[in-house]
Amino acid sequence: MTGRAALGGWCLVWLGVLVLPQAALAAVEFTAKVDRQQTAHSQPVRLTLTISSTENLPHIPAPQIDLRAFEVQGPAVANRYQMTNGSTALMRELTYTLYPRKTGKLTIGAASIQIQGRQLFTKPIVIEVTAGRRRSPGQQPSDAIEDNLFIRATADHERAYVGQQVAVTYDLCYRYQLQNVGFSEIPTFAGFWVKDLFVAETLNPKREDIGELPFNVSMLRKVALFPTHSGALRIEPMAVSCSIPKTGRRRSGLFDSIFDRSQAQLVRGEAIEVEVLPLPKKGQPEDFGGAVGRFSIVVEAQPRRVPVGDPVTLRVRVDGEGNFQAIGVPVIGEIDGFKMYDPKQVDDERISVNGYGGSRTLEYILLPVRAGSLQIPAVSFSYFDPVAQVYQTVRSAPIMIDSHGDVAVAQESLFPLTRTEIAQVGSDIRHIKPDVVELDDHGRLHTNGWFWFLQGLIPLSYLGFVVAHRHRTRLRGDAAYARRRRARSEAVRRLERAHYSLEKGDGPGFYDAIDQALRAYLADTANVSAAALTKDECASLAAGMCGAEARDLVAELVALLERCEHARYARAASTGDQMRLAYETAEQIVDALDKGRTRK
Amino acid sequence: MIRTRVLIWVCVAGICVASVGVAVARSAAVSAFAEANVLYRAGDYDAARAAYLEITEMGLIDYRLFYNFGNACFKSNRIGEAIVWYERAQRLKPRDEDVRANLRFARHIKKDRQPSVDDKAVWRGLSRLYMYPTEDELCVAFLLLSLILFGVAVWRLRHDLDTGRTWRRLFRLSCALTVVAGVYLGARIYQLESAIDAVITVEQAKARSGPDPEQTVNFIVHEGTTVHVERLEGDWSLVRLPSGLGGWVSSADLTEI
Repeated sequence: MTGRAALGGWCLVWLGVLVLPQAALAAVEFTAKVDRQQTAHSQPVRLTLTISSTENLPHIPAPQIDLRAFEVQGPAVANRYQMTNGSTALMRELTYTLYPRKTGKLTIGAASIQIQGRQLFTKPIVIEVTAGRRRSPGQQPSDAIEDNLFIRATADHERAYVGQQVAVTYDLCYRYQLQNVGFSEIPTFAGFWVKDLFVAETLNPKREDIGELPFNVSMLRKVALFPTHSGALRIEPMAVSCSIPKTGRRRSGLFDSIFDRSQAQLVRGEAIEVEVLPLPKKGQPEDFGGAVGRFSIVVEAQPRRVPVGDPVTLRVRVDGEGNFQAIGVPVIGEIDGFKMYDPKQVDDERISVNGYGGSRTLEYILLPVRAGSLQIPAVSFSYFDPVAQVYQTVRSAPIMIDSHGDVAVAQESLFPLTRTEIAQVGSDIRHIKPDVVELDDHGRLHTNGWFWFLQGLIPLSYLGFVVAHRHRTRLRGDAAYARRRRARSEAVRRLERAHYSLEKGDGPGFYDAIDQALRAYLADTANVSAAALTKDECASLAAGMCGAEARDLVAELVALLERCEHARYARAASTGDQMRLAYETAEQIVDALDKGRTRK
Repeated sequence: MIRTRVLIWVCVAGICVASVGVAVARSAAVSAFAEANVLYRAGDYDAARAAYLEITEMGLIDYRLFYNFGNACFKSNRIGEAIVWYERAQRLKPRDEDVRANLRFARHIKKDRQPSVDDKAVWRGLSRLYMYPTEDELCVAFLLLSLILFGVAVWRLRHDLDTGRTWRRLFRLSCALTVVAGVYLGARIYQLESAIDAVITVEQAKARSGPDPEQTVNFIVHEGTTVHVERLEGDWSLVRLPSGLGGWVSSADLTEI
């Protein structure tokens, strides 16, 4: 190897060491540009940061940029890739929409980004912002956006006292069709206590002529402001962002658009100056607690007649328009004859688009400490009326409480000193049940036999009732059945009559009753007339009932009937024994016939 | 005749003696209950628990006794046992606020989360509605409706009101209500008698795959957990959780509600 060759080799090595790492790094550019460098105050500027690389970058961090002079929307990110000879080139664009915060020359600071260890910067850009035109009354309308889209801020008082309610209304006045309307800047209202009365969620426009042109006017926000100190106070402007949609062609009429494409717009109102006066010292009542507005007072006590030591609730209610949160508490001093505890305060806020107000109710517990007619003195409340510009004092009428009875002992411990919400601080099971007079031992009802006995008795009773009813119905409708059913009982009844005659020794009556009993029984069972029955027919019926084997019974029946006839018609004398024998025979015959009939 | 009279008098005397005996036993139970309450109020919960146990062994079935017994168990750190007695009290008096509150509290502080199926709100509401009346109330309702039906039927029969539309409707309504009450009562009694629920009363119980201590442990349940007993085999009970998980647990580790 010669020395020249060795030198050449060394040079190649060093070239490789110096050049190759550089060649390995992608070529990256970082630039910034704006769509305009002169703009009106209400018009946005579009800033585009472009990162372009000859190779695909695995990670691109977010660039750092100072945009404090602008309201910022975005960025919108767009990536573009290009494949060339196997390598991928990348371009990323970040587009910001900037609304100038003020007029004059505003600077978009240099943006920086670190890629592959290298810090890249853009150049600062200066934007010149001019004030937009606002059409003054009498001025001819123009196509300028400022003349057709603006915020109108109005205060109901330009001069107000400290604590007086000042209602400020922000209306959006426009002659375009608007989209994407949203609050962009909300004033801080420094120097005021603020209560929102109305905040629009959607545009609700009303037609109104401003100058010579009809506008859509939509209330955006209404606030009640209460100045906290005197002096000239400035209410900062409100701003909303919106976009005017693309129309594609020009139209004529009320909502003419002068643009043929969608345009983002920031609309900012104007600041309002309010001169705040201090409350006059002259004539200020001693009990004045800072209430400014118009108020009334209502005082009531319940009950009016109580025993000594029982509580009386005294309610003092102050109601009115104004910042009632700052009205203080109506002063009630010691009341003679009562023990008084700290009041419970309830505020009822009333918010409407017409203003802010409400009521404050103080509830005192008073305990009469002696009997008699006790007086709750008048309660007074003072406020400053900004309309009349004088202090006013409203006063309630005194209230009489009739307290009776004796003074209770240790009354103080019965009531807490103040009312507070009850909070749970622990948990446990509930306490045991108290002592009892009796403990149950019967168990459940469905395990009790009596329950099922009663339950079973009901359908059985019904069944019995149905049977009895049917029987009664048949007795009424079926004469033969009725006679058959009654035959025995009738026979017994007649035999009893016979027995009665026997006891009296009335022979003819006795035999007559026996004869009737036997004949009637046979006639009833056969459903024939008893009067027409002959002895033979009776014998035939008896034989039919008892069967052929009862000849003796039939013979006895015939013999007894003959004896009865003989005794009745012949009037022959009968001894008591004979009659008793006849009676017993008759009983046996009836029994035997009845058994025979039943068997059949 | 004389023998019959003697028999009647013996019966009357026996009934009187039995009634007096029952009255005396009840009076003793009431006194024992008051004494147990005194022990509880004094903070001697173990003694109170023993006293309540003694009363329950007399065969008394009273929700106040069961509730106080549950309280004594709870205060003696026997959560499982407390839940058993609260459950028993609740079955007798399901709408008592104290019983419900203490049962809820005891379930809340036990170790296992109360196993529950993922029921929908509507189903839970219907279930509560179904369980709202007690079995005793259903019995009374059934009896009253049966009596009303009987009265309507008898009245209708007596006055031959077969063609009266109002009476027919009234009769049908009474019939329908009685049948519904009867079916409802029957379903509740069947559910009560057929379902066996129990509570784990030991600190932890192992549920195994079979009724044998050598079998694999399927899962472990802790004191106070309510389980459904499906089957008994020797000293082992096959229990199932509402989630469907089942296993054999030693019967000594649980107490039937």
